Amino acid sequence: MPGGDQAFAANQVEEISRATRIAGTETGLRFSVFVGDAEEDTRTYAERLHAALGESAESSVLILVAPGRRRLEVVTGRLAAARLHDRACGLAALSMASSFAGGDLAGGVIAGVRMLADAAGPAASPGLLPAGHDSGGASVVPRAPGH
Amino acid sequence: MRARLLLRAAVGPLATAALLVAASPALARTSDGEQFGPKLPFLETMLIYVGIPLGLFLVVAAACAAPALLHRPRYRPGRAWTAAPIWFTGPQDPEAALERARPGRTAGGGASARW
Repeated sequence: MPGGDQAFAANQVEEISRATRIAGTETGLRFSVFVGDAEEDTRTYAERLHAALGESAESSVLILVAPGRRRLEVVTGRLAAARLHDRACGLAALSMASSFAGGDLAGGVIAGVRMLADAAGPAASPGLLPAGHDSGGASVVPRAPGH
Repeated sequence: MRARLLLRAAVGPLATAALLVAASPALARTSDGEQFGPKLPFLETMLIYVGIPLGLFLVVAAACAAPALLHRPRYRPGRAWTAAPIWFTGPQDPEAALERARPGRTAGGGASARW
């Protein structure tokens, strides 16, 4: 089977990248999605991944999807949490989980990112934005307007 | 008045005649099966009664299997996860970033779910 060791097909990778990019430009927050095997304590692992986002962690949202453990975690940075309440995160998490239970990983991730971006609302004040975040490798981290 | 009466009287016989004409082939003498045709060769028999059904079966089976073969890696809940991890909008050097990461100060909230 082609790409048997890949989590997603190329077009799915492209779609998820686009969803995170659009969510980033709309909200001014950084949306980071990790799909892979996680350690036993998925929450702690997710928080470590979130902290690994570096300077922009405080205005970042990290989604950890651990398909092997059937767990998903949403971690909001301190600044992001002011706009993205735990309740909204919980709703998006539930929506993603129900997609994943149906076997649709990519669709669930895209829908979840969109829901989170909608809940966070458009970028309001440039003061909330990070001074400068290290752009994330291959996937582009959008720079907010007024930067 | 008379014309209508005549018309009515004619309907019955005409309808019967039409039915009889339509059914006339049934009255013909048949000779079906009385003379045998040439025997179907073994190969042809196999082709028609084994080859064609088998071919149809294979076509349907291929149509069922093709999407899974051509398409994408599919996630099935409950199965082991062997795919390599993928990080969208992650740090440039994930290994180093995870080494440096000091959790505890940056996270402000979130949510969890399982399925």
